[in-house]
Amino acid sequence: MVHEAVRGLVVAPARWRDTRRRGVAVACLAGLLAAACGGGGGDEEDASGQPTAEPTPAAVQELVVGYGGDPWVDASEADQKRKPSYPLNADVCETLVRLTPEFEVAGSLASSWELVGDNTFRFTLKDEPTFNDGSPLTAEAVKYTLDYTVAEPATSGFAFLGTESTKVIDDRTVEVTPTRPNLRLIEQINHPTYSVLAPGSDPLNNPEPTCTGPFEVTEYVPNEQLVVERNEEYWGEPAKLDKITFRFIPDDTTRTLALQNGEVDLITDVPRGVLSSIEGLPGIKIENAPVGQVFLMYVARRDLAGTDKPLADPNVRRAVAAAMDQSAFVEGVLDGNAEQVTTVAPPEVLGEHADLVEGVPFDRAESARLLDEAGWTTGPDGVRQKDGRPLELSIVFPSSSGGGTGIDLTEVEFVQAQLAEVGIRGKIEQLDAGAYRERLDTGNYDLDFSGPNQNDANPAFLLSLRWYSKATGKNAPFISPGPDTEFERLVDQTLQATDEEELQRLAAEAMHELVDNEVGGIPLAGVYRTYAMKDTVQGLEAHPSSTNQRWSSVFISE
Amino acid sequence: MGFLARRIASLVPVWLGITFVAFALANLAPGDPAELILGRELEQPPTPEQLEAFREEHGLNDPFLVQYARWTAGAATGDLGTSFRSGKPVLEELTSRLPATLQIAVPAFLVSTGLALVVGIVSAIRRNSFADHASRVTALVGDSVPSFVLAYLLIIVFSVTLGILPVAGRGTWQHFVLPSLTLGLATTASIMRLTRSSLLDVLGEDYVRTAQAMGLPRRTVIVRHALRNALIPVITVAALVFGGFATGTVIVEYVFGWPGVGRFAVDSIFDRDYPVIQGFVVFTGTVFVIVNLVVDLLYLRLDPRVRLAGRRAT
Repeated sequence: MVHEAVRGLVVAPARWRDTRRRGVAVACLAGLLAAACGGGGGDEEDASGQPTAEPTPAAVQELVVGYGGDPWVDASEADQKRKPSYPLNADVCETLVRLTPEFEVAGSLASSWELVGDNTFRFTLKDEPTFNDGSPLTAEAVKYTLDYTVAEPATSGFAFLGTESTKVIDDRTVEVTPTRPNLRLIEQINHPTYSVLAPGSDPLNNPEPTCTGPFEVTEYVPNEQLVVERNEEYWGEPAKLDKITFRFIPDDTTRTLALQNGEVDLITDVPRGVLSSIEGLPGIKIENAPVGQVFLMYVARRDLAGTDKPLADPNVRRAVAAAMDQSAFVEGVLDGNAEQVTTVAPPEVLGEHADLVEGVPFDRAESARLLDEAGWTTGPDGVRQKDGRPLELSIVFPSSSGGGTGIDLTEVEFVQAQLAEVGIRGKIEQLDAGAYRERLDTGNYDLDFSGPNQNDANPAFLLSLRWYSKATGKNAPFISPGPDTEFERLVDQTLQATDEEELQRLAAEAMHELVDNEVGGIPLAGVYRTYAMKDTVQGLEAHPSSTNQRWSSVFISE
Repeated sequence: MGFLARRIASLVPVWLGITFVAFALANLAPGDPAELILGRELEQPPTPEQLEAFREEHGLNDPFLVQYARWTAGAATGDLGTSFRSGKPVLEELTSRLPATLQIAVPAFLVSTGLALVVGIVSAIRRNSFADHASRVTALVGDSVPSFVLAYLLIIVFSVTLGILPVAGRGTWQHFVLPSLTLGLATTASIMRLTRSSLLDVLGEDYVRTAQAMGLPRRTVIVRHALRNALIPVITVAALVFGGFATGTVIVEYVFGWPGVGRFAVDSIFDRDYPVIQGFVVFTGTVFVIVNLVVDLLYLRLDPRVRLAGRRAT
């Protein structure tokens, strides 16, 4: 106990995991105590037991949100430039186009947009928007914003913008030309990184930027809270809340207890393990966003030297996929807070073409047959072997310092157990961010358990980022199907598509190729993002992409 | 003064050793900081050109010893480098968080030592009484409860059930009661047990029996003669506890959302922010070096044997 602080630091990652898991039990205990002690008021019902019709707005419209850790205080300068829009989006600034909950692009500050020439997009601005200082939105502001994202430290790497990319045509028209062919600009530029700022705004050095959104920042205390108040001059439908206070509470369990205590009205990213303990509590309700994140496994086929790994064999890859019981994973491990998916991105992003991706069905007998066929026979210890070598696969996953959408060890242990059922030994390695990155970059793993989020409207976003052989990352050589494959050809086409429906179809075909034929990615579940709140919080339209969450429709009822 | 000068001189190689270990360990850890930080900033893997520019800018391409010498020379003058992530000086980053850490460290230390001394002394002078047994059992339990469990239990009792203290955050005095209590209670047990055993040892010494035989009041014997000597090992442990508190207490800071140096250091470790990791280790080491120096000076004051040894050596 003498060196508690120092010891605590050394063992912190492991203890944090323990903290999260044991915290679940603590929250359960707190739930029981709170329930026993009376708690809140309960669901509002009329005499017949039916919910009352339209909630009446309360006199005081102030919401306190329990958010995770302050996303900007220890962040890079580039991340600080995105204050207060990313990763926490306080609904202060708006983009030219926005991402709908259906992963479609809709106009926001821009009334229309079109491709002019091979690689140039022309945006026409709406007439109505004004900044919260009363000045009108102009094309000059858009240019200022996009140039700001490009200026060092740059935040706009993924859209390939440069200092010469943005040209003002007239007061209401602006043209954007990426530095290299990028027809996915429209799907990417709805990312909050590109939130439009008034000329002169500099969130890096001043946390109160001048923007066009329904709220404006009134206070930011690093590591403590961000306060926004209604922009009374908002050009659109005014926000219903007068004020939102985002309180930074990094620990999942503490955040949950703060809700039970009534210190906050709503919490984001509720840990899955805590959900069951607070679901029945009086005065508290749970709302899930549609799937915006998919738990999946990236499959490494070769190592740094280019030598084939066990998963280079398509039969072994398919056997691993067939060994995964998604239903048990969703219901038994994720407690139903997820759904089965066949895609490596939220199915919604593929539109009506999502059905093209069938997924490898769970079939343990088929899995065993494929392994037999690949020459892996069951050894005396139950582990399959070939040429005296056991079939052992390393499963890596990153540690998370909190947040309900992080990966929990129990989820990876489920995969390990499923592999064991067919005679594959899974070796789990939970790694901190640096070590995890190192392993991915050197191909020193077999399966990478991950949970990527879909934050823009590009259905081929993840495909081109991770599996595409021309992806800039060091990891692609280990997991990519390769340059001369059907998958590659289809991803190439997604980068050139100009029609949204065509883009979705091509992305779905590429995903079908990846998941069904190549088995280069193994989807495990589409995970819900969960909010827990007091019964009096109304009107939250939970967005599948948390960075695109909006708050103007929320209000407090009596 | 000679004793003091010798002690300070002996701490210089210790401090240099700390700097070397800090620098070497941070650099031996897997993970390329350039890749990690650029990858996060750009939200996609950086290009080789971007990586090279980052490494060049931050001197990561220089040989290990060159990097170490450059960094140590800076550290000796208070320049611990610049955080890869925030671009701010590491010393500024650490000192800006130190007040928050001290805000809970000082009350925690007072809770810890105050409670431990009182209970430890009572336990020793009433050896084998009910109070003694009860305090020992409590200490055993206290020593066994991890600080995060204690933190949650305190929150459940005082915040969720009784509703008299806030769960997390800063702003009012009520906000640092639970973090300070958690921190303080977690270390009370060990200091209490040490106080008890040390006092029991001293109470069995000849000079204490002599004092008692001379008819001195029991209170005088205990306070003036026994406690003074019994406190010497307790001071050592208490000082180390304070050093631990002052350099951040990760778990407590994390659970209560307290923006102290410990949480900052752990976030830096996750992100391979080498300058911050190295700076934090040196900062921690320096605090402990100073704490040890203060303990030595207290020994000098409390223990005549140390004074005499110091004079003989000069």
